[in-house]
Amino acid sequence: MTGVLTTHAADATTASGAPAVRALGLHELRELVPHAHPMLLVDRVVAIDDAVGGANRIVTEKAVSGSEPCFGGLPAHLDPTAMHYPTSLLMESWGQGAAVLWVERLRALGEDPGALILAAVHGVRFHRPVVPGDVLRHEVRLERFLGTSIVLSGTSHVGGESVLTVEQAIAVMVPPADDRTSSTEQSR
Amino acid sequence: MSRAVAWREVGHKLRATPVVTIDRVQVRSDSEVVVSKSVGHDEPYLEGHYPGMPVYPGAFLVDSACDAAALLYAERHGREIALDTLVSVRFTRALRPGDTVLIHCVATADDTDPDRMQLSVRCEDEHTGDAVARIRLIFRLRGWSR
Repeated sequence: MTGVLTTHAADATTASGAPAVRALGLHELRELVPHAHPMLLVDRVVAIDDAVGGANRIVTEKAVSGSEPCFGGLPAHLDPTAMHYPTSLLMESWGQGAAVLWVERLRALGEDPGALILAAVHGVRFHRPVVPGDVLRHEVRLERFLGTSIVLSGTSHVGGESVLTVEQAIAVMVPPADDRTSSTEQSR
Repeated sequence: MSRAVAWREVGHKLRATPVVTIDRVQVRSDSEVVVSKSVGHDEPYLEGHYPGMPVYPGAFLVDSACDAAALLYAERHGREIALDTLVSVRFTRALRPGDTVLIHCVATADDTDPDRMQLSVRCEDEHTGDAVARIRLIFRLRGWSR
């Protein structure tokens, strides 16, 4: 793993006490999360805010392209709403930031990250459709870190305009030894 | 192709979705629809979720529920719908290639807003009956000329 990913709590703040901010490219993301093309729905990490105890906020970006598989196989002459980016992929794209945050958090604590399962979500508002050409900017905030589970919230914007608000998402960890065999692992 | 006609073509993609979201449909009443989705071994997106260990993303069930509700409202009410809020979703079991999920959807009118509808969704494994997910959604209703 590259050096930028081996963050420790001791160097998680700047000399002024402000949170340290880091960015990650796609090549680093591919090493962090188990998702792969075409289901790797984050293009880059714009910022990870580190605090004592580990990362607590992440900002990611994804450019939506009309050439993505979800836009293929459609009949001709559908109305424009047929080309809205699927809400499932919008939520998945937002949630993949949480997976990065999770890995970063555990590494800061010196623990091996297991798989992250999205177990429940509450209060997701869709403010306007996302269409090809939009660049999504997701923000995921870690509200509570409970050892084997985390509580998250966040937003997604396109050009400063809100498209998604997530009031609460709950994810749980599957221990590394079980993360490829459990009946419930990595399912969401 | 009008959306009203398109929604009757179950088994095809009728809007941008990661996969074909509905294989079979049974509209039971003006407020209830049951659809099924069989998870194929060659589904798009599964190769990346995850390499060597395909697991059907739970979020895709939300797309199936949305399409089921859209079909119900096209057929029985002549109205188009748009997802407004995912009130809650709880996943209880993973789906893998070879599994078939039944998605039971019950629509309830919003007493305070005639242009909104709530959908309660229960997803279960067709063969075992195991609960897979519970979903609650709110849609905006829109006019539609067929």
